Amino acid sequence: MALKLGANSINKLYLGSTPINKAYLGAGILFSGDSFDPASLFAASQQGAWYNPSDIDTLFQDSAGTEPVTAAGQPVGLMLDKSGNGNNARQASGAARPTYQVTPDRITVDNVDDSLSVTVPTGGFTGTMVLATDNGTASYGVTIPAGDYDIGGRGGGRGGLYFPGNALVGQLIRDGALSDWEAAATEAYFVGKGATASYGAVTSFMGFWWDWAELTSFPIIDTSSGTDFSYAWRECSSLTSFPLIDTSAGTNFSFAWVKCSSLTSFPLIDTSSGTNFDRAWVECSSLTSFPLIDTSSGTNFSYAWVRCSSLTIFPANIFDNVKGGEFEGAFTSTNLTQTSIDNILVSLVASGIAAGTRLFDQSGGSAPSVTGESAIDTLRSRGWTVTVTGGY
Amino acid sequence: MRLTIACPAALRDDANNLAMVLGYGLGDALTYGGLNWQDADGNIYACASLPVSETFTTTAQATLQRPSWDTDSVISMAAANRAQAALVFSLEPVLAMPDKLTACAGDDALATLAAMGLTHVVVDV
Repeated sequence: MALKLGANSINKLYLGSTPINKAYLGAGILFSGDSFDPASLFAASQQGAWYNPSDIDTLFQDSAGTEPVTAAGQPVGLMLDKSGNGNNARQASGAARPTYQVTPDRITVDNVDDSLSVTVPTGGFTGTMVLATDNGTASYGVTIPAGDYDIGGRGGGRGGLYFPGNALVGQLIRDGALSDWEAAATEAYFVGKGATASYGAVTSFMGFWWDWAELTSFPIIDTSSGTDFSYAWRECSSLTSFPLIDTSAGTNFSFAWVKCSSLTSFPLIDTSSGTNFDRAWVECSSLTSFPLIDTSSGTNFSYAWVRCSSLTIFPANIFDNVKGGEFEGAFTSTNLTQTSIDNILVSLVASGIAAGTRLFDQSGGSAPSVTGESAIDTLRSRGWTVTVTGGY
Repeated sequence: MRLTIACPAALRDDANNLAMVLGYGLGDALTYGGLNWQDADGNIYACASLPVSETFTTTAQATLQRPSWDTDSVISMAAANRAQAALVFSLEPVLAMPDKLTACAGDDALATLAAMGLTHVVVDV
């Protein structure tokens, strides 16, 4: 049954901003989002790629495409692009081929060496990527240069491959940004094929998007259950901003935004549960200021802002309620103003962290004023070893 | 059955030749790539994980034959035989050995690698 408004068929149905995949009248389907055809996104000859493992005719066990996938458990060496652009994804190495599984139809990756590779044509893709996995579905802004691009596991230069899930249910990349409703409809389409809609059940986001330098924007996804965000966005070097996601349950933020070197601002996320901020913002070299995040549960800030070379403004009172004193290298090679370094030192005094072998390092930027120097005296009296610009 | 294999750096070229013999073609020369894993002693490994048939372990330990596709003798059979001699199969995770090609069964590749005593090589920042 088709849903109609007058004589016109309704192709999209929303509840607020949430796309509705199916609507029922009793037991009958009144509306089905399946009527949306992602092929329409390429109707004007747009470049890109669309992978849809639910269409088994697009899957082959070998990279040459001579042996079709016919059953669950078989390797996938070739996945055809359904966008009409011929940007097929292949894997020549037998050991690195993902595995076809059913219920839902998907290709599983082992997060060790499994991936497919597509050769992005000259000009690359600048637009939107919709990625639908067994862990969640989301749309990202992307700039993917011409050349080889991994489908499935990504990154991998430093152990394992990084992917926000264990299986790919669908992926669509279009050169030219999708509108909000096009992205929502594509997400709903993949969810209709069995992808998990929300990341809301995920507790560990460790390494999910590590090394995804192609991401130019990151969506607001449901991260409310996330406790481990370590390495999650490490080296997402093209992100210029970061959304205000729910990190209220997060305890481990270590290495989370390392070398997000294009970030020019950082939101006031909820870090009230965060204990480990070890190296969290290393080399975020475009950040000029930092928000007054909640550090009250924090115990480790080692090297947290090291080599944030443009960081000049740091708020007062940020460490007033901090629980621990691991600050070695935290502000090395920054560009803090005198007020900012004073803010930090005074706040550490206010925290009242107990005496012990505590290290604090600053280099670059301005030396503290007499206010900061007084705070240093207090910290040293409590057993801290303090090194600051200017050598006080 | 899924096998997860840890290949020490010194055996990587030999192991890739063996992968070509046991695998599909020239693409299998890339089976063991980045040396991205390390054991507690700091030895580094390239790792691969793949589903295999029940007969795979028998095939892998039988006398090696040059595959029919290798008409140009790309494969070094001597290297493949060296790798085969270093193969250790286990149905349970065992610690990776720096002089062996250690292959362990296990459904979860990352969990198997952890049980083999291997951790990601993380470049210090």
